[in-house]
Amino acid sequence: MGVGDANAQLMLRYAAGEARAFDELYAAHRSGLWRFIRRSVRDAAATDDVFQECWSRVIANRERYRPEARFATWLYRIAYNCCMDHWRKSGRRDRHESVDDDAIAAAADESSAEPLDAVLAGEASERLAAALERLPQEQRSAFLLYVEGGLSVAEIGEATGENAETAKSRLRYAVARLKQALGNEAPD
Amino acid sequence: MEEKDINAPFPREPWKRLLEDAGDAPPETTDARIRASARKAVTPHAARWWVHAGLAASFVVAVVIAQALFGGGGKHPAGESKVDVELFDGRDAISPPPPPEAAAASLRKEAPRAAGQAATVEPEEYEEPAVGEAAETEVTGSRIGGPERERRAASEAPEESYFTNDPPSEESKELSNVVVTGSRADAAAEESADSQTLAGAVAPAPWRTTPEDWYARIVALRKAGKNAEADAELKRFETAWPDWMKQHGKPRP
Repeated sequence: MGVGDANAQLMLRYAAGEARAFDELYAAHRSGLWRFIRRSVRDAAATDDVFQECWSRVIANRERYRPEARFATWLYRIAYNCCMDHWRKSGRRDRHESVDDDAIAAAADESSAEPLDAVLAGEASERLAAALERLPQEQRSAFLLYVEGGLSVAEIGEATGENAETAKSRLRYAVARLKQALGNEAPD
Repeated sequence: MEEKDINAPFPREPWKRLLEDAGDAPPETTDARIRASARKAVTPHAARWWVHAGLAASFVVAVVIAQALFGGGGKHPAGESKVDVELFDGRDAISPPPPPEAAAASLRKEAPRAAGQAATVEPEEYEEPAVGEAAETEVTGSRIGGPERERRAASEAPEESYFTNDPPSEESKELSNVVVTGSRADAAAEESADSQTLAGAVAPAPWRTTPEDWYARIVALRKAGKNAEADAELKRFETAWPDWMKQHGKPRP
């Protein structure tokens, strides 16, 4: 799977000393990874630090990379670990239980409490970003890994250290809350 | 359209488009920094040969400077040859010079025997110090070879005066302050074909510098009526220069 991955081949070429391969890799993943980190850490100043730390680890571990999995899985696992380190350092990690059955109801309450005119005036993307901010950290990470990183449920479980069922549950709750927040503008 | 299986429970693209519309992207400075770091990481280290060469050159220069400053041309005591260490005996180097009395006593004792020992005297390679420089030479201390050995002999010799029966006179006190190295005695012994000894050449008083002056001094004492002093001086003179008056046809004053 990873061997046939174009990004995995680029990573192998970079590990072999081809600097231009890294430029292609970076161009392909910089925006998605930035958004993932930006929405995960929810701190503009820290986003740049975590983003650079993530790529520094990619560079430092280039020779240890094995194309047994997709490059994106490897990259976003590193990014998720960097975010975890940031949360530990800042002590700001959310304590919401991702599989709490009351999560959807709580999200609905938060969404309904939001001023209606602000929701209507904002763009859908901004409302999505705002709704992401309110998600518990585990659900937000699962959603971002799925959407931005392109990871499968199994890969999300691998990246976050949980099993696939837990990852799938987190993902389901996250989408439900985001749909509630976006209303009719939510994707199907 | 993405498949709705366990690994893709809902389509990503609509959500991704919404997220991309937010327009977040890393700043260009961050891009440049990361790319530069990536290029630097894969730069061949062989291109940095000059770093290693510079370090090696610095090490060599440091060693040379250290040797120049502390090595003393490789003459550190720990690095001296065996011969040097043996000759540079610590006892000679740190032992104080023998007391002048002991040296003078040794001189008096050895004076009559100097001629007899001339054949067995070790050759001296150092210059014979002048009489006025004798004490100074002693103070300056260690010289490799005969003087140290003779000095040691003088310091170890019993305090035995050749004139033990004589009352201590002014001249004898002056004589006791004189420190003479054995080199002078050896030189005198070697050059005295007529068995003249070194004692006469080492007198401290001006009139004892030469036998002529010494003899004149004794005559003057006798004329002045200082017979006791003249007798003592004559006795010393005859001891130091036993055949001088006979050889020069001088009467006994």
